[in-house]
Amino acid sequence: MRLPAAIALLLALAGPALAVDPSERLADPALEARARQISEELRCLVCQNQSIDASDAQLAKDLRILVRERIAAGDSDDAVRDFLVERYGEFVLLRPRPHGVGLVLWALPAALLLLAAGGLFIAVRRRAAPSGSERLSAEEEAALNALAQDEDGRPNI
Amino acid sequence: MRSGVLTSVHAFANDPTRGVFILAILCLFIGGGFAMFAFRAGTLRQGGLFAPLSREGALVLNNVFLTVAAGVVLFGTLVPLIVSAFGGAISVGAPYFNTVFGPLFGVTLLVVPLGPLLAWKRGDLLGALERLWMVFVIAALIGLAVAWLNGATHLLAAVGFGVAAWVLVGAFAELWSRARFREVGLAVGFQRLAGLPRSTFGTALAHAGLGLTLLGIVSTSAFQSEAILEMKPGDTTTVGGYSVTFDGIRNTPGSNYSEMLATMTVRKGGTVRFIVSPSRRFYTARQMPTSEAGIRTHGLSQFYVTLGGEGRETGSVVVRMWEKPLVTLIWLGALVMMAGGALSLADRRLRVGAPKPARRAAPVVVAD
Repeated sequence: MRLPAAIALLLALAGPALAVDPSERLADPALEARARQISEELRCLVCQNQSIDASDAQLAKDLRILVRERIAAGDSDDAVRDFLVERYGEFVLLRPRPHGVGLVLWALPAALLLLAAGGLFIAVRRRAAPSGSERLSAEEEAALNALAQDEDGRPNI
Repeated sequence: MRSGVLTSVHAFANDPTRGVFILAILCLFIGGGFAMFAFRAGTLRQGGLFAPLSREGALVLNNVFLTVAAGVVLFGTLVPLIVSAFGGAISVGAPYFNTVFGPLFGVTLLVVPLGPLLAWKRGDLLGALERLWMVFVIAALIGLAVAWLNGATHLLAAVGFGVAAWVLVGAFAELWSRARFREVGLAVGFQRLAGLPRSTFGTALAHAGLGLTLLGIVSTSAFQSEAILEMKPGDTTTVGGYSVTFDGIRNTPGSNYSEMLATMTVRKGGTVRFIVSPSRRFYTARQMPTSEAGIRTHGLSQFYVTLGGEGRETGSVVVRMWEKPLVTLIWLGALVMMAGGALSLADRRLRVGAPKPARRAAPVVVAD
C-alpha cells in the first residue's frame, strides 16, 4: 500500500500541468463537453482519488484520449462507460451504477430517511399518548390568553 | 499515520506531521465533545413535552437530515471496503455524494428560515409562513431574474440562487418581525431591536452566513468559466467576460530553484483590471517542477491562471484559466457563521453570574 501511495504522491506533485491538455481536446465543443463530463466521473487508477479529468498520470492521459476516441467514433456516453468497465471493472466508475451493491447505495438515503421518519412517528405517538391531565381548564385557558396579549389585544409572544 | 485501508483523498495526508496535527484536532473536538457529554450525563433529563411543530421539532428535523447525511458518508466510505473484502471492487466517489447531498441539503435549507420563527414548545407553522411571504417573493424574484438572464440552460442555477436568497434574506425575518417596524415606526422598532437578546442576532448572523456560503457555492459551480489553451506572448483570449493578454515570459533564478514567470494583463471593456503572474518553478536539487498559480481576488470573485508545459508550437505555453464569480463568499460565509456563533455565546443568560430563573419544584428541562 505504501509504494503506490508514494508513487501517487510523486506523480501528483511531479506534473505541474493540471490534467486536460489542449492537444487532447476535441474540436467539436459539444463532444468535448461530453468527454469532460464522462472523464470527471472516471477514477484514475494511478492517483486513486482523482478523476481522470484531474489526474496528471500518464494512464489518465491515455484514458482521456481513449474516451475522446470512443466519443468521436460515435459511441453513446453509456457505451463509453461500458467499454471502460469491461477493461478496468466497476472500480473505474466514481458514480456506482444502480444494480447490485450500487442499488443498495442509491437506495440508502431514502431508506435512512424512512427509518428516521418511522422512529420520529413512534416517538411522537408515545409522547402524545398520556395527555389527559395536561389539558388546561377553561379558566386556565382564559387566564393564559389574557397574559399572552398586550393591552391592545395583540399577541404578545 | 494512515492505515492505507481507505485511499486517501489528498496526497498531503501521506505526510505524517500534518497527519498528527489532524489527529490532534479530531481528538480535541470529538473527544472533548464526548467528554463534556459524559461529565454532565447525570444532569441530563428526558426533554419536556413539545409539539412536533415547534422549534424543538425543527431542531429534531434538522438533526435527522444531518444524521442521514453523515450516515450516507459513512456507508459510502465503508461499502467499497466491504465489497473488496468479498473480492469485488467498486468506487463511490464525488459524483455519488454530490447527487445524494443535493436533495438532502436542499430540503434542509428550505426549512432553515422557518426554524427561528417557530416558538419553543408549540409553533405556529401558518403564522411562520405568513411572516416569510415577503422573503419568498424576494427569493422567487431573484430566481426568476437569474433564469431570465441566463435562459433555460441554467435552470438549476436559478433554483440555487433562489434557495440561497431564501436562506440569506430569511435569516433576518425574525429580527424584522420582532422589531415590528411597520406597526411602531422606525425609532421604536430600533429600540425593540436593541432590546433583543444577543442570541437572536447570533441566529440571524449564522443563518445569513449559511446563505452567503450557499450563494458562493451556487455562483461558482454554475457560472465559473474555464479556458484551457496554448498561448504565445502577444496572444489574447477571453474568459468569462475578461480579455486576457499574454504579455511575456521571464526566466529568473530563485533561491534554490529556477522560475519561469509569466505576466498577463486582464482587461474588461478595454480598461486594465489587474495583472496576474503565474509561474512554474523547477527545484534543481530534487529535480521537481512545481506550479505557482496566479490568483487575483477582484471584488468577491477570483481569477486563477496556471502554466502548464510547452505547447505544440515553439514558444507557446499551455495555459489554464478560471474565473470564479463570488467564490470568496464561501469563506466569508463561514466567517459570518462563526461571528454568529460567538455572538450567541456572548448572550447574557450564558454569563457567569447571570440571574438564573427561579427554581421550581419540578426540574425544568434544558432544551434550549
